[in-house]
Amino acid sequence: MDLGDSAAEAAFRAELRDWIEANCPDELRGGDARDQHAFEAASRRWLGTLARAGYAGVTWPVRCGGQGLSQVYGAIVLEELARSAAPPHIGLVGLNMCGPTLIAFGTEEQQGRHLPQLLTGEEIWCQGFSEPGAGSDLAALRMRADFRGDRIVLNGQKVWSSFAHAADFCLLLARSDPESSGHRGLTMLILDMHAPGAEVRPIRQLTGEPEFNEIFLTGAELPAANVIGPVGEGWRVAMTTLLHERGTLGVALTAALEYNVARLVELACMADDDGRRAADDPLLRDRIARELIELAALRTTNLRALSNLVDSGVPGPEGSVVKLRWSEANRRVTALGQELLGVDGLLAGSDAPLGAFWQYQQLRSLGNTIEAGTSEVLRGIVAERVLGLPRSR
Amino acid sequence: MDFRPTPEQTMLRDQVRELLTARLPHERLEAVLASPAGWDRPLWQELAGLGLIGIALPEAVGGAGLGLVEEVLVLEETGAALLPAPYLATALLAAPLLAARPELAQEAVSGARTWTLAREGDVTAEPAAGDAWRLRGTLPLIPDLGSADGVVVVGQAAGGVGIWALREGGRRAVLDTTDETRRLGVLELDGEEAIVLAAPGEAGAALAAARIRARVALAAEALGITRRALDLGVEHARTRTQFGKAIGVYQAVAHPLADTYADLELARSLVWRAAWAVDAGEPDAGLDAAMAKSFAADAAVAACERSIQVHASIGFTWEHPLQRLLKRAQGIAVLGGSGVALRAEIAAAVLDGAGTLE
Repeated sequence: MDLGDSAAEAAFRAELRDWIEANCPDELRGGDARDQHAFEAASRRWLGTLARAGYAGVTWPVRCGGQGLSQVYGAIVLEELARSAAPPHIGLVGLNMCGPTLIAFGTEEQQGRHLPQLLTGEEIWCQGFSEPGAGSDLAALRMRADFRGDRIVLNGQKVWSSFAHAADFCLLLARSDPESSGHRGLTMLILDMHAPGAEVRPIRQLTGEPEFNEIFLTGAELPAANVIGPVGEGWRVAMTTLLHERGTLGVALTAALEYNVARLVELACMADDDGRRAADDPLLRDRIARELIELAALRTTNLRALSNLVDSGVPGPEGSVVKLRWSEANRRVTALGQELLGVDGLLAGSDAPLGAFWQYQQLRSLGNTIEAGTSEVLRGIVAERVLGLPRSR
Repeated sequence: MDFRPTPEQTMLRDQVRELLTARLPHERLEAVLASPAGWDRPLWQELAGLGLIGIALPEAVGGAGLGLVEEVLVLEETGAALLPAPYLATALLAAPLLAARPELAQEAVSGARTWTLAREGDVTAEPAAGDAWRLRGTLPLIPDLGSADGVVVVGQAAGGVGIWALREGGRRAVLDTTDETRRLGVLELDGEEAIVLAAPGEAGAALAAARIRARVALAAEALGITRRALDLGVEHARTRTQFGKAIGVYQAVAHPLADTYADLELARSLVWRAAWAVDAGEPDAGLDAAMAKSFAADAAVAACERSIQVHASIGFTWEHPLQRLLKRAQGIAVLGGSGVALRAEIAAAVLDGAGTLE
């Protein structure tokens, strides 16, 4: 059992930290409420900067444009980026889910065509899995993919697709066998988002931002060469995509929580005009201490899961609790931050203190217990797959 | 970074788990607790025979030269099995202090003498002949006094706080306790002779290290209790049927057990992290220990409460092992600092710039 960085890991981390300090533009840092359009443009440039320095896709094979490093290095990149308050960039869905899916199942031609552009941010990807009638029950999806010679024609609707409004391509799961139901008869596809018949409508979240979208496909076409993996095996491909999401997602989420907790400590320690600090209230001290403990527990659990991932290629079962507990912790931490602002916490936009950081983060955190598996679904997965309790469905 | 137990560490844990599972079925534990001694000396000799008591002590005093990381793997099992013997008190609290006198440490490692540590009291010490000192005063609420032969005593002398080893004797009263697997006792000393382990004024570092070790050890036992309570709850939810179905099919039953699993894994991360930090000499080891103890103890109590609820009436009976697991967890929650006190220490370290904990 060794929690420390090896000499090589420590050197990589130190070099990366210096590089971020020197290269990440200030206007991208901090996670305050923001102008979505400007953020997206800056975020795309930042991904290019990361890629040119070799810090995008470090775990990808060298032949795919990566560095061929282990997941431990992938985790170091995520940790250091979050610690320095570098922004979550617009290429995350592409780098963490679509790219690894192409590496695992894509043809040589698909890999050569897309992977280099994915790394540099020249291609932004989104994911088209959920539908109005298929959320937690993904296998109920109905998006039709009809094969007509060497073309595929798509009809249906996707929803909750992050960054689809800015995306060039979509990793799309559709039903290729109209007679099928459930997990069978699905196929994974690459859809050009600029194709005729593909329409994106932004959905305004309760934060006020349009971060995710509906995708309407009405006779949108793509070449049959855009199938990823075997026709009819889309479920297996999708599970790989989601496994990659789970692999190091916890590290990125926890690093972001660490940033929020650090901001909370800073806020609690600010003295008012009479020299009083919120941090001197014993009840508040206990609540902050609880969050410091939960944060340490999540960080270390990630490292255990990562150790298993590096060894066996599969994250250990302990990793399955990280997203669940992180989402609840982030809701508590951000709510506490807003509570400390008092009535000032009601102010929004440019009238708000601290760049509306806490107002935005608190509202955004309400999505955390819903996105990437609701807390109810995640508890069900632990109960059935880890504890071996009988299926509830 | 590779934060998994090594194959040797896994083997050690499995060996202890198999032994304790075989030796301490529920009926045997109840018989031991009902016996006049109230603890399991034959099993103690077996643990000593396997070299477990000196596992983290230097080889020079008969130990295995391993560390707290190995100890927490053993302690998870002693907690899960509700071991009715002073393993934590002897191996974790007393033995590292006894190592100042190799002959005393060797005797402990061999299993010939069990020990506990008494650090809260008003004992005064005066020099007698040679290495011997005379101790006077009262030490209340000493854990495992009922099963400890010797007591390591923290007291006050002209030169400051010191540590002494009382091999036997003193007036002892073992108290009735909710947790019968770890009885508390009162020790009164009236001029008994004891051997000095740390001279007055020179005990600070050893006592600080002992406190950190105690917290990590208690947290590790809590981990075992959490695991056992979860296993019992899951087994019941899989096998108990009502309305024609196993009750685990209902999410109102299953999800609290999933919450216990989440607590268990997060607690295990904190315990392993703290043990690693102590062994690696990390400056934040005290903070890590306080975090592990606070979290793991709360998790163990909650795990027992949830499993009792899942079991319903049968879980509320004296005969069910859950009541003993709950009471041991409640003991762990207050020994070595309550959760509230530990979190106050953590808050002071982080919010007041007090630096790291001792």
